Amino acid sequence: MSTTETPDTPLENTNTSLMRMILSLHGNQQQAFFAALTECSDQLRTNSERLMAIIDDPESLPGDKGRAWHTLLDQFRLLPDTEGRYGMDLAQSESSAAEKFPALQTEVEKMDSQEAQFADRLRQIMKDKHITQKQLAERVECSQPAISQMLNRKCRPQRSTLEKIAVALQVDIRELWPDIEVVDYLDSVAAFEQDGQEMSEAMAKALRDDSQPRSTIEGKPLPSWKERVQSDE
Amino acid sequence: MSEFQLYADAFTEADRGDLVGFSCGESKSGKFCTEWIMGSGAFDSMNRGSSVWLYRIETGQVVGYGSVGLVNWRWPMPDGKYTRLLYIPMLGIDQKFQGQPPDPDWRYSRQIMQHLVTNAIRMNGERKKPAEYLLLLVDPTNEAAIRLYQRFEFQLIPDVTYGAGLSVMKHRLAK
Repeated sequence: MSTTETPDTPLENTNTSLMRMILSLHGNQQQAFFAALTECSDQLRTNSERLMAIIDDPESLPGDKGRAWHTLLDQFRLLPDTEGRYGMDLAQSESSAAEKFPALQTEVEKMDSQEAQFADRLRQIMKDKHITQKQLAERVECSQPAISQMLNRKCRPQRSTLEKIAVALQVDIRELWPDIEVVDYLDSVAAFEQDGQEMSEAMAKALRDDSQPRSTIEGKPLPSWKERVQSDE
Repeated sequence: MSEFQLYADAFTEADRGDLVGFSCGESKSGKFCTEWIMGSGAFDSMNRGSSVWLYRIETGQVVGYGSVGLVNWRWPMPDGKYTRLLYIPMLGIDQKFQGQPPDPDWRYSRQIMQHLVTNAIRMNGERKKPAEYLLLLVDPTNEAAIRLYQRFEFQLIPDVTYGAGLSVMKHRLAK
């Protein structure tokens, strides 16, 4: 993030043209504005043109012009945040945007999960190789709904399943899940939780050994944040 | 109340949005701690009966998570009888909060462990036949984690590894 001066807000109730508004920016902001306009995505540019048309339209109300200008600056990150900073912290931006838009939240969340990335990779490889869910299910000897669940991120594949999928799709297993050690660890934790497993002799010996002193830890549960928020409301 | 006071709430699907950007770091342990809570691991564990909590600071920002579960294992044959064990499936702290705050009395990792052990003791107290041990898995290369668990009276079980080379630690519960 950079910290520069605040751009002047154009006066409302005047027929200020777009150019006058741009000229009201300080030198650095002017440069940043034009750079952003030149380099932004097609979608953002279309948006910008729509906003600039509102600003330049003699029929537009001054308030609408002001709001359009504000939106234009905001979308190019030329307005300071609540702490007076300019620019964009990607993680923070994703987080705050996701709070406002649930659909985006799902997308942002997906980006953070290796499981979701696996689903995207698998879908892409299947598409590239023209393999249907049914065909893949047959090759890895599982059900089509199981493949569907993986693609829809409703279950995590075990390492053995990943290996079968990699063979079936003729790709390296790391193309499907680059951090394969993570899968191994998660499998270990999931296996630990399985009821009915017979423990090893070494584990049994450790658990029958009563030489370890009993716990002396005493504590009280932590308070609830949700209850606190509700009571504040 | 201190600004470093943690708050604990049961983790639900509705909390997923609060985890956007959550990361336990780029180490091997950090990655799987992140993936467990961001992927389906936590809910799979909850479906097996575990309790999972999210820990927040006063502002609502998520500091980490932790979990406690109960599993029925069998002694080796020919005994083969079932025995109940409490365990901590996973806990993780966002990298922004690791080692924080500097005051050890309020260190987030210790508040989380204190909460987990306290809850394990409470759960055990509610059982007709209490478990003798609280177990957890730990990456043997993660020295900081091992030190933290030792502080809470966990001992490394020698000569025992589980799954992908994970070490097992045990904490003998109070009667």
